[in-house]
Amino acid sequence: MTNEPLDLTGMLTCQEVVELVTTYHEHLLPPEEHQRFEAHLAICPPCRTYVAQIAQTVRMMGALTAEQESAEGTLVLLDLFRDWKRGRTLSDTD
Amino acid sequence: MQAQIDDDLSLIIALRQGDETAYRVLLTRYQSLVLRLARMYVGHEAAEEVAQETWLAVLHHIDNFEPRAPLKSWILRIAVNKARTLARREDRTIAFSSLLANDTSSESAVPPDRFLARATNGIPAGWWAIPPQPWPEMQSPEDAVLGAEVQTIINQAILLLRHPQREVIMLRDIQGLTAQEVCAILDITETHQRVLLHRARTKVRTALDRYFQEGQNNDQ
Ligand SMILES: [Zn+2]
Repeated sequence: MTNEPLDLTGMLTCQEVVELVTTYHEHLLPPEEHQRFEAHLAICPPCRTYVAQIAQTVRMMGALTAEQESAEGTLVLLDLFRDWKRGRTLSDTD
Repeated sequence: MQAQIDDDLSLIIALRQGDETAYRVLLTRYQSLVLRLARMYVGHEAAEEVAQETWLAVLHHIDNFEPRAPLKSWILRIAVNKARTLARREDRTIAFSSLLANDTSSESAVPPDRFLARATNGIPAGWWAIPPQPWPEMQSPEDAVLGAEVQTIINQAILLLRHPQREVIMLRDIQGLTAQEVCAILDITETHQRVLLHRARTKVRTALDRYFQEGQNNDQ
């Protein structure tokens, strides 16, 4: 802790970083804001942790195992198609 | 983008001619998405009903479909509308619109008391007072299989979300749809979509954080 204290006054606050994290991940921050966001991360390990945890949360949600569908359901949907097609062929002669 | 439109177009033309293969292609691509989407609103059995109504509507309206919007968004939007209607009829959920109205309230992502209310020891207000703690080393992201407990935590956190937030996070982060697709399906603006996604992700992260920190306090 012998470092000269950084001047933090013009920087984004941690609270602002937390509010902007989704916009940052969506690559929708205007270039200047994007730069300020990364300047903050460069000097703030807790915000790096936070931003990484949000990213990890998103990855984990993407890795949730999906439920299986029933083959039965698909058969019903195929019947539905065949009925529709039959009705359509009949009404073509109208 | 153009390839997608061409692909959609050839499927639409084939389907209009009654080509079962084209229909099967669409089923393979979108049926599981339709079902999972429906289950956000109604129970498992009713979700099958929603799927049937959706595909019936697709067939009945395919002649009028103008490929301005991608076929995928069109199909999923039909599914969402069918599911909402059924949910309302069964009174399983409160009307979407009333929830949407409530959701413009300014709730903060992380409790404000985690941040300094005023400058302290040369650190300005708005910086961490109680910084987030790292999570234990997890399996690498490539390791796609999540622990059952973690899955439960995530699922519970998502179930606790208010409806529009839940819809957006499920479509974006679980089903992997793009922001554009989600906006088209739910008929919301890009900004609103992002606000909902932000709040939802923040809450799921908070739930995971609580889980991981407890695990550490209990010394695993
Ligand atoms: Zn920070």
